[in-house]
Amino acid sequence: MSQVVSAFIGFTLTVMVLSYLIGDNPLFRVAVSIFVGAAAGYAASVIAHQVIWPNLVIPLATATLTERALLIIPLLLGLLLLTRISPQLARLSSPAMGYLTGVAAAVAVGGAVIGTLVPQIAAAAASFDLTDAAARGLSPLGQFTAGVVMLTATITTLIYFNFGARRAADGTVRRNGLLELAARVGQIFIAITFGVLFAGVYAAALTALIERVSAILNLFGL
Amino acid sequence: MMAEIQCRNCGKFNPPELIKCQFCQLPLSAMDDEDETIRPGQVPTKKVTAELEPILPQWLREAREKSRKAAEEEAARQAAEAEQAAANREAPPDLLAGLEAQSHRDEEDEVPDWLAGMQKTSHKADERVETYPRRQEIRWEEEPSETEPEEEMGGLVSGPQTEVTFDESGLPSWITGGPAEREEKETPAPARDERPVSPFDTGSFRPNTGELADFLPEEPAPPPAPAPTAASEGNLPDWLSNLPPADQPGGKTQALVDTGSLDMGSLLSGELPDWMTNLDTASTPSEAAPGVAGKSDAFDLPADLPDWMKATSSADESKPAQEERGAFLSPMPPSEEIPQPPPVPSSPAFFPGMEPLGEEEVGELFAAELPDWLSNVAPAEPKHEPQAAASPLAPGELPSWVQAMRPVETVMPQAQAAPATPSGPAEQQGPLAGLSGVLPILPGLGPAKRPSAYSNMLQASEDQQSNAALLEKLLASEIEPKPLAASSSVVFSQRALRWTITIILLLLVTIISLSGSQVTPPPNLPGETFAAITTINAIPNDSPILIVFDYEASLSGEVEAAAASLIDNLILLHHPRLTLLSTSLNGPALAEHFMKTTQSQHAYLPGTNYVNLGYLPGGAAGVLGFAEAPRVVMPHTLNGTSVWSLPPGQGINTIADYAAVIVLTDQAESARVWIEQAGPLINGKPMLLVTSAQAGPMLQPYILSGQAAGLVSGLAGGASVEQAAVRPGLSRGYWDAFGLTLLIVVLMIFIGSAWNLVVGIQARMRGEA
Amino acid sequence: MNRPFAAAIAIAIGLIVLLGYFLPIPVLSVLRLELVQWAILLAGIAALVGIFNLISVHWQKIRRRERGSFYSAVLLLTMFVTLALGLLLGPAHSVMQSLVESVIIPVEASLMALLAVTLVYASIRLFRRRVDLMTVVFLLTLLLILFLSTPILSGNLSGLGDLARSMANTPAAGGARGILLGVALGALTTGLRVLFGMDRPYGGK
Repeated sequence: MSQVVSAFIGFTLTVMVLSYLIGDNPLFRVAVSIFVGAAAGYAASVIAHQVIWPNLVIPLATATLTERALLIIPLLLGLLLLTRISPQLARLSSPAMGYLTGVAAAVAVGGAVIGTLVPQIAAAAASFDLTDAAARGLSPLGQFTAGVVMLTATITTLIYFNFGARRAADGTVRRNGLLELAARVGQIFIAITFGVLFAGVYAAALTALIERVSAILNLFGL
Repeated sequence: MMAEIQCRNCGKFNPPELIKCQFCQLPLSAMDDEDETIRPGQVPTKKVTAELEPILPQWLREAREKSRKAAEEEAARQAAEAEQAAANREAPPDLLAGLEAQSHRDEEDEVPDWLAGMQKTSHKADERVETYPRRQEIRWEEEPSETEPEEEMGGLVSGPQTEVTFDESGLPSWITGGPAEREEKETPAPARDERPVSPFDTGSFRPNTGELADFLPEEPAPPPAPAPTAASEGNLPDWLSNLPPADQPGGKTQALVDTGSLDMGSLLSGELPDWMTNLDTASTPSEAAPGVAGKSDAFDLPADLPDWMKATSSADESKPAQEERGAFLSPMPPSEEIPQPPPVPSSPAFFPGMEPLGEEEVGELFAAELPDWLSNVAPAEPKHEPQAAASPLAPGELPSWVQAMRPVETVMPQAQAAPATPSGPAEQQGPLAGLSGVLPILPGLGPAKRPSAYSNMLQASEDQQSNAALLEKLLASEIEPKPLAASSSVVFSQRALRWTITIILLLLVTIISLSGSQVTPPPNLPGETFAAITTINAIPNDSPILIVFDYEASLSGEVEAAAASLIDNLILLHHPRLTLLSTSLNGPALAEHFMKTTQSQHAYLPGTNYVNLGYLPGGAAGVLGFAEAPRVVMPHTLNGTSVWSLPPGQGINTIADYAAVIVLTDQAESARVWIEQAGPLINGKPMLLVTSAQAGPMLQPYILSGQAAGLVSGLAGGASVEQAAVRPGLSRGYWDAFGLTLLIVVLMIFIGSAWNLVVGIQARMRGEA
Repeated sequence: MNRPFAAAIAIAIGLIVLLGYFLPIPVLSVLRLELVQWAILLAGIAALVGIFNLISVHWQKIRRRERGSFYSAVLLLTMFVTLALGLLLGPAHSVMQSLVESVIIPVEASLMALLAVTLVYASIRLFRRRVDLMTVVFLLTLLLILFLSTPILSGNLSGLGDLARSMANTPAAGGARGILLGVALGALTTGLRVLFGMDRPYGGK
């Protein structure tokens, strides 16, 4: 019974949202409001049950004295963070925000270096390892060609994102001619990449449409 | 023919060409200009830049509105407090206030008490309703005043503060000119409580921010004669039209500064913090040099002044409008209570113990060492003083920070050679009433060292403003209403096109889904998907597997379809112990939904065969923490029970104890986080990615680098896994509808694009013809 | 006072966490884990702050009777009902699970489904907005990749499809690598600026 009710609510909300295809209308807005409210309420309950309660409240009540003393710091920072709710007190949250920012910056730096920069640069170089390609049964020529294309794409894309430029004598700001050419090539690779990404986005959206239509058909046993 | 000028002092009319009143010999131009300039003691009316707001997004408008209201309330509160506490205040005014402030509510941004108290000495004329422009909106030629609206008031009084010596009267020695001069000027000081609050009241300029004192002396003062800016261009606002193009050499500074005298661009490059760079460009003095006889061009009203500026300029007869003054002016007494300034006023009230000075004496005292807030107003007909030469103080006697604030000596040595001129006009209003020549009369002295004010109001440099103007134009063009008559057919055709697309897609998907067709060939098996299947096959039996649910409900259908067959095969082949974890807030429920809808055939039980850890907050930090110590970071399941004693969690101490990590995600960003943070800690254990089709292409480099062992991307990936496993499932059920609809979509886009291309080319050719 | 303190915290904590990546010192690892755990807790609280802000914004709309306040009322009502149920029953309860499956999943998925129409519409009109090399390359790649996803080049023509797919995917992967490296470099410089105190997004400069 509850599943039927749940499915019917889902069907109703789906129709209300899809009514946007006709044009913006109150049904659509009501559906979106309901969704945002439900999502926020669910999120708050998850945080309360999964973050605050087990990581703060329970340890403060049951942990050893040392652990409790240590928990004072995040408790204090958390309270400071909550002051952001009030514009008058928001400035008090700076230490907590500083703490979060410091950790996030360190994690971003460490992850970028260890997880992306070093491995990806190594992989770009490894694509020219023709011995390895032959050992894996790949055509060395094909591997080399693909490596050249990928390396060109990688470098020119990076150059495209480089906004360093010098001021010419006439006052105009221009990149070095070679860099400008590379940037234009990089622009083409970026266009290709975005085309592929856009195709992926469309595939995802179309799948969502098919899933919704299928859900409605299933509700009515079709 | 120009109208005659009425002398404010004697009330008689004078020919317009006269500079001084032919009857009383008092200068006339100052009277003319008082509408254009803000004199000491006058309080500017805050200009609310509402005209820009309609194009701002709603959230930004709300933020601005909230901030504006808060600033007004705060200013009113502080002004009231200042009035009460002025008498017995012990703490000195914070002259560094506002320099670092981001929020108007910060203590650094508060309106200083002495400034609030200064309103007591304002005259009736001060209460003219003046629409005060924001700094960014002031036409350069019309920027005679440095007085700021209340939200920037903190910056008005800010300045570097180091130890300053004070004499008995509470005045710093560099102002009083030393004991010798003080002897002849000293008069009984008025009662302290009755004095208006001034920065010199307490006699203790105590710095509170050493950081500022360090770098402020390096701040270059603006040059004496900035170049005139270009006239308004196109439909740009006036203030914007005065900005140089962003790509011009020297950027904003060179357009505003007379490069012949001083290259501000070079001064500002590199060493200065951004805010100071902005400060200089924003506060560079106007081009008009008030040192020459006659009315300064700086105060001529151009014909294209904004309306609000014109209203300000022509409002000599404007009556005070209390309700428009805002809370900032609340300490001001009613205008009726303020006596008219006497023609020869006595000494300013905030200078205790001083006899009224002659014009020249005062001019000597205040020639160059005036605080910036006093330097804001250049007299309309100022006369040059040989300031450096006439000053009783040698530069070496001044504190270093004061020297740094002396624009004449530090930045504009050429200004010392300014020709000597008679003393300037006597001040008529404000706390300096009666003092003559107190305001800097050299070009460029006015806004020489005004510190910037930081508040949470929008503070933007010239560059940012030009960028904002571009964005503004873009946005304006986007929201610009089109004439309905001309575009009704276009609107109809657009709507028809959208409805046509809608109907075609819905019909296709519905019909194909209804038919249950599975006639189209399945997709080919990509290499990365084959690698994923191989990896799954190699996982030991009954091993712990971590499955990360990191997608939103919007793409749950697609990700579930992509992952269902892979997990199905995993469970079928190896019967692993699963740990489910989510880094999105809805993830715990989506994980349960996935297990319930796609893996129900395996009868996996929560707590026995799998455990749902729930939500892991903290983004990348959370992933890092979990990878290092899952037991510490996630001690409980979603329903509150202890995880690690349950069968799925036994033997797990780090993420490397899992036989494999499978990340289900709809964003390349979240997959990247897992690869970056957890990848180095899994000790060679495989990490598989199951993603939405929109994330797959961005993750290819991680497959090629070997950081991810395999990838199943989107419906095509899921269908190919099902095909490889010969177990048709969810993806295969969607595949026909997907493939055939996609074919129609490709045709629609191709035909529609070709049509639009031809139409566009034709329109362009017609336009060129 | 607050801001230098915040800067000191950010720099000190950030450096400790960063050093933990490169220096395998047990004491440092323990300290870093503790710091990261606190950050996880704070991040959860920060999410709560966001929800409070949502409540505040919509409550203000209702109080001022602004346009659309009805929708704000609906939103807040739904939120409080869901929150109450979640606090009472817990997020793992079947009622909460049903709520997610009947409200959150259908609405979010339907919003995504709307894109299937609007993206086609936008693609068709792309050439009307601008015609340049980037647009042409973008649109041709889009059509090629979508076409390769159709069943036309499957089956007997799969070899041709694979070839075309690799021709499109190889430069795309190179571009993606360039973008990933660019993102990583950006994260590196931004993070270092924060760790050196040059940027203070927590309320400093």
